[in-house]
Amino acid sequence: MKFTYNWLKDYVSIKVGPEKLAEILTMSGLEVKALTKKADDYIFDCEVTPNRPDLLSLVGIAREVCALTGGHIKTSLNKIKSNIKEKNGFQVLVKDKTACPRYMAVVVKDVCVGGSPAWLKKRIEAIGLRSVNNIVDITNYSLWELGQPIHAFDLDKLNKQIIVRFANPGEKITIIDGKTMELDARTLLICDNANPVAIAGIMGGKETEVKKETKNLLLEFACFDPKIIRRATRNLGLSSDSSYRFERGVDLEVLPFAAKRTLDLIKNVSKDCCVKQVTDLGTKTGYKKTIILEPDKLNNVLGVSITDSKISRILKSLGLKLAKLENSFSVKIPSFRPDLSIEEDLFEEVARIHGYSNIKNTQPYIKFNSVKDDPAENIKRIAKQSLLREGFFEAITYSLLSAALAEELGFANTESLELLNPLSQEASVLRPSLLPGLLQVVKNNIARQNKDLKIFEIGNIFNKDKETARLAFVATGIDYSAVNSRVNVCVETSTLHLKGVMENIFSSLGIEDVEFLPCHEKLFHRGESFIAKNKSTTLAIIGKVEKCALESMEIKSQDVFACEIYLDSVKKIAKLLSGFKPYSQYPFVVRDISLLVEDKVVFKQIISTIKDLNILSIEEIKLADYYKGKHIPKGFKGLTVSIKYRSDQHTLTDSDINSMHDNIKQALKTKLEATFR
Amino acid sequence: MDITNIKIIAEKEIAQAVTLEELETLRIKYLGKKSQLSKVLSGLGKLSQQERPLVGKAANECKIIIQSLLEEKVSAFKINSAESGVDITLPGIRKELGKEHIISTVLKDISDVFVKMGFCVVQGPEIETEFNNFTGLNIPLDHPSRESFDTFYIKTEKNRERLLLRSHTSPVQIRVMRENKPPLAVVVPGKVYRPDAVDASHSFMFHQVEGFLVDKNIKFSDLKGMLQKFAVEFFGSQIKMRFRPHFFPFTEPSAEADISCIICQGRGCSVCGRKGWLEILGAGMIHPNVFKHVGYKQGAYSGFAFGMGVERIAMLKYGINDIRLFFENDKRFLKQF
Ligand SMILES: [Zn+2]
Repeated sequence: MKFTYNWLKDYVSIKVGPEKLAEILTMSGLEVKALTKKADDYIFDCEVTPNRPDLLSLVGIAREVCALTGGHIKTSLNKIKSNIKEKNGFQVLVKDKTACPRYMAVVVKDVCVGGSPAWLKKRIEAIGLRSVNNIVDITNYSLWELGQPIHAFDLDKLNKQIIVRFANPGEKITIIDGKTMELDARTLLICDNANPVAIAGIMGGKETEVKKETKNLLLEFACFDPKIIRRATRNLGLSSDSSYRFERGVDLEVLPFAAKRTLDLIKNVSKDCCVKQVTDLGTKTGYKKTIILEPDKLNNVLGVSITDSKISRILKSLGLKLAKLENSFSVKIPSFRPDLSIEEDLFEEVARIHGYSNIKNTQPYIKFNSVKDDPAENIKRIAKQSLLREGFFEAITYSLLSAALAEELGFANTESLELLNPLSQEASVLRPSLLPGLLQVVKNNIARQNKDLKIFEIGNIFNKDKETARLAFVATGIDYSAVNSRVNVCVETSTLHLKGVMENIFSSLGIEDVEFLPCHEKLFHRGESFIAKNKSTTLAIIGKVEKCALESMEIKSQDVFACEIYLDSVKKIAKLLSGFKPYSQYPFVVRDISLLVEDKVVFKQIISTIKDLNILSIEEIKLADYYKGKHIPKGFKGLTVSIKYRSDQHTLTDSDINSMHDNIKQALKTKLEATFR
Repeated sequence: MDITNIKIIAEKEIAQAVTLEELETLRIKYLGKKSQLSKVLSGLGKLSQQERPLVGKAANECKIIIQSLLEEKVSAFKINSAESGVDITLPGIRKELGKEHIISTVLKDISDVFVKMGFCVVQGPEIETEFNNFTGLNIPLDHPSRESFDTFYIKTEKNRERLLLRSHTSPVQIRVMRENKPPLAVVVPGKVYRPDAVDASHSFMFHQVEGFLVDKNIKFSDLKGMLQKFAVEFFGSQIKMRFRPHFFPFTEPSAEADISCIICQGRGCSVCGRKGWLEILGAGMIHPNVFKHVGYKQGAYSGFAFGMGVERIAMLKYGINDIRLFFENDKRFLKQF
């Protein structure tokens, strides 16, 4: 909403300069976005909140200024407020009274359409409008003044009568700017006996517009259902100063005043014109409400002590009518303030005018909460710490992705949640996994020469029946476990690498018992991807990303490894508290076993073979070396296992250790056909 | 010059010395035969019986301090030079640590301010019902924000109710209040969604922190006091905060809060549009209809709620000029914070 300082002064005596006024208005809720000096005047550009349609008029702003600065309304405003009475009207038929609760039509004859006088032109242009002709400019001027949109038709182009009705599907109208619009059945139209002549509340038709040749006018002062206008503007992609106000609601009761004022202004620019007929159909009374306000409650809610007389003075200055009751006020709300419906609304009015900055800050007393922190957050925090220590960077990716990509990566579209109104096909389904987003990050980074990446994300994923928390991490390229260029310990990322990261996360959450099964997800490479389980619960998927998947992501030159952890399952088995375990006072001895086994024997079998012997004095079993190829027969692999022996009863002797060690070797030999080197 | 002064100046000069030669010069200056200390010591005989032991003691102590400072510094130089066998100026052998995303950090930093005041953190789902996102929050059925231009709807319905991607974190108010009775002091960090075409300052996905305090007799002045405290804790003690009336369907009275511009300290710059103020959050006293929707008895409780956009705050605080940077996840971006 734009207005000028000088124009506003027509209605109210302003005691402060433009800058100060801008500040006062901003601090009372009418935010002045820009204040520009133009010649001898200042242009205010304000943002009006949707609850205050009354501020889309100079009169409304003048009322606000009065309340805020104690100025007084000038007589010119009172003049605007004289009514116009109906007399033998032009024929108007309103088909739907909810859609159009009030309609006034005024016939004005013998007007002289021409350029606007300088004063009018100046004001119209100051608020950013284009001066068209005296009649159109006056309708705009009057709209700005009272907030009531007005449309002027060329009476002689109208066929007999006005009908307000909904459009027939597919019906067309050519509007003032020359565009032809096709309408649907929910668009409200103003029609004459033959054709649509305006899209109600939005824009008039080309055919009946007021031009230089126009002699006689039909002026429309109407009120339309905001919902209908809003839908139509959105649907047609068409809006105007009129529709802007109708969408927010205009004051039913202002119509006759606006009519009177408009006619006075027209007479002013076209001396010989005369008003012939006035039609006024529909409801005559607008918003009405009486609210009981208790000053004690007001002071309590705001944390202030404002006197009854100040409360009363403030509310009266806003145009509300007050009656004092025993411990309260009865407050009558005028039709131009439909936003005031409960006591709290009045608290805000008083606070606003009193000034938010005059309310002294206090410190609330915060008691123990009756809600608790979510334990899942703790799991996320611990896992995140673990990943950060491992050198992974956190990413945040969009939760929406393209349906086609999801499908290409193997996520069934029957499972995915789709948006009804996506912005684009690129972001039309909710992510069924965090991995597509992370792979996209990998792709973008590789395209920018960031080839070595370790990233993770914690976030929610979505499928048909639920929204669940996941944690995913991917790695590709070289893993610089040490950044020092001199001691460059660089290792290519691999599945086992990621497994280590995952194990650290699990162990920080007290999860030790994890089994691996082959994974058959399309996203992953068969034979090098696994499902990590604890009993029957799936905890994670881990492995090498399938080449085809990478290709569909345009990642061509390097392998990518990925892991996605199901935090909801992890939450169920996580043990964040582990008790103290006493440790032995006696020294340990480490003995290695270097063995050859067939390729089909997996490391876990070696471990369980040893563990099955139930030797109490084994403290730790570690893989010290793993080798294949040279010096190793084909179909075999070599391993070195370090076993740390320690007793918590006594110092182990050589013969203690030899006997345990021999037992182990024997078991490995018989169970796994291991040979030793 | 008295002895204390000699000591102060010597300490300063030794600290500033950067070569062994300089240290040697200083040794001669302060401890040499012609130094002031030597003169003091050799002139002790001329002093009175009472003065002699006092001055002597002070001069000796001063000499010892200067001596040890010089020795310390000389040996430090020697360690740093190749003599010790390690070039300690070589980069340390260390692991590259990962970094949290800046949005996570800001979300946490904001939440932490309130957590310290006694708030607890609750997260709600990103898929919400129309009731929780709108109706329960006193947003009327015909409100523009419900339209598909302003809210993402999901094709699937639940119990005949439309589902949507929450357009703000406020529905968590409804969830928490429906399940719990006051006192409540809750912060809700999380993702929200709106169908805005992506550009330098818009994103269809962004983050908010919502907070609310509900109890008996919570006042508007409490809201002001608490958010002012937040501003000072989060942005620094020089920050001013001001409250302007505003409109939100779920609060009454409502306010928008500005902080004095953190870039120009309120003098006016391009970031704050020469106003000296930056809009930072929306807040207000929880609307009675919201309490009604969660089943609280009328008038039994009062409370306030506030909400802020995290990307905007992060952009202001860290001078990030394009919202898309947050979601591109370029490693060079991630490494910076
Ligand atoms: Zn600034």
